[in-house]
Amino acid sequence: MLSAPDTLRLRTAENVGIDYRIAGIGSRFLARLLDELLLLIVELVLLAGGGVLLSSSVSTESGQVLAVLLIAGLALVGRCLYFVILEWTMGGQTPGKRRLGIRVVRAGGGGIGFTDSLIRNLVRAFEELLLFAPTVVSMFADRRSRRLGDFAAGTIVVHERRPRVRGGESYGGLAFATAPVHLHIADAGPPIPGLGALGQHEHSLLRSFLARLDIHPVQRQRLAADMGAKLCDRMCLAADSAERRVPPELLLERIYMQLSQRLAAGS
Amino acid sequence: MTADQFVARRQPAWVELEAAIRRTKSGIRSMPARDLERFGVLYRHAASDLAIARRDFAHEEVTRYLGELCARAHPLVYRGEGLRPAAIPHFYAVELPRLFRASWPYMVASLLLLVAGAAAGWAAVTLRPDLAPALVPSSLFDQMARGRIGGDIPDAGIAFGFITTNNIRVAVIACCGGVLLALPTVFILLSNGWVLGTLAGAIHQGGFDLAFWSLILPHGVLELSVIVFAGGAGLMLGDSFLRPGLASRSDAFAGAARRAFRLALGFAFLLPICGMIESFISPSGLPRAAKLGVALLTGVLLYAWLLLAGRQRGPAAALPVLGESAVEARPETTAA
Repeated sequence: MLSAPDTLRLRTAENVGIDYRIAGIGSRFLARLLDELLLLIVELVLLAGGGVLLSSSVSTESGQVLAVLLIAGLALVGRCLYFVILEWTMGGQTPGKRRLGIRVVRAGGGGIGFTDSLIRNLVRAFEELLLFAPTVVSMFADRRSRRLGDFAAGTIVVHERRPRVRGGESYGGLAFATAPVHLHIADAGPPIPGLGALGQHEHSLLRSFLARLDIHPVQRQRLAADMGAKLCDRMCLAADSAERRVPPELLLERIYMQLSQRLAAGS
Repeated sequence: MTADQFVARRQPAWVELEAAIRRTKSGIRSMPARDLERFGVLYRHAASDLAIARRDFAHEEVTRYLGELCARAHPLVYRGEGLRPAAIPHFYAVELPRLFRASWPYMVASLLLLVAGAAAGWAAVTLRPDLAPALVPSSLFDQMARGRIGGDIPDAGIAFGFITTNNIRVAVIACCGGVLLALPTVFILLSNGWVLGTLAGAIHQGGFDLAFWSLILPHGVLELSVIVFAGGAGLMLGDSFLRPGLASRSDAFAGAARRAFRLALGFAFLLPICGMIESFISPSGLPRAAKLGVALLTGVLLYAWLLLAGRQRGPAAALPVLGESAVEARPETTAA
């Protein structure tokens, strides 16, 4: 199966490939923006509170300068710690990242630890110093959208897909729904010779076709005729066989039902 | 087996795993032992179901679902090492000195760059005394000439803040500059050496050597050491990218970054100490001998620790690669 260009398939210790969708510069920038806004609000409140406390309690000039420096220093340390601590304790997320549904993971797919978080955020301080020029270049150039801090810490940022419920029942939080199949005929009819040539793949195809009710009837018929002819060819049916004369949509339903029975029995 | 049968048979376990994922907000560390075991079982089942689904139902919804389920669970099962407070004493007693000694070529290179800058600065001032006023801030030189060295720092507390902040800035550039082929690292080492060299050269001409060095050395031993160490870490980073050896560039870089940042962060505690000495001891009225004694003491302590601590007796075992877990998934090299 071909994977999309922004998908990274990692082979885990269980020897199963897990697909991660890489978060690009856009969603990461937005997440950062949200975090910065949050920080700004917190800092403003703290600074205002500190200022009021200060003017009332400290009288000497050098004492005030010292206190201002102290508060500014605390704010700076707080900024750095915000990202380090939150990414560490929230499993690779900050409030902004959680809102955008993205998460920092290690390049091998594992969760990040304290050191990883510390390194990537320390390098970020340096990237900030350079006005993020190397950050942008590296994120555009790298296939996995890593910035310098990601390279240093060996991390990537991935999308955590949100539940996408498309009708039907939903199952728990991640939610997947298999749309129900609509059939017009009640029984599968006489066995079609050559059905053995079809398998799981054709079953999936028929299933998704029969579940689609939103296609225009004319187009649906045309599509069914096309599919029916191809399936008949695959089953090596003669040009004058009875199956080729059945209305294609009904033929597809018959094939689907017989195939379902066979696959279900074969399990 | 049809996809529906597959789902009907396996789904209870997936739903249970989902619920477990939702319960663990950040990690599975806080999970009771029985749940933990169950979590592992559920995860492995989901992973093997994913493999089956990919083979049999490649285009069904259930495959996409299982992929996402596993992607959510995997970082919870496999994760980087946490911060264990119990490991800190061992880190400082054994790992950091060993790591420092193992990275000696970079430390030496970093020191040489600083010395080269200083030598150039000294030479510049010595060869062209007429340029000295342009190279050295004249106000400072005037103060030196009047013998008022360092006597005008108003408040040791404020000085401590400024000095420490500045040192952190220099150290961060020296270390993190490694990610840009170490060019900023080389620059900051040379330029810091240059400043020191021009100052020392100018002051030597003025004949205030003892006053100057008693002002610089008490904190300078630590401060210059930290800059050299941070520069060494930066050079290590840059080198890993330029000469990755057998590993891929990004792998080599990530490995070196782990070591370099362990070094840099390990030495970070020295910065407030030298800020303290610089603002409270260096400018104080203590006798010069006492100040130089402080310089000697800090130097001996620092290098005794770094060169002697954590040495192994007997045949030297291979240095373990620090901070890398034994089992971790790697990106697939061939296109999937």
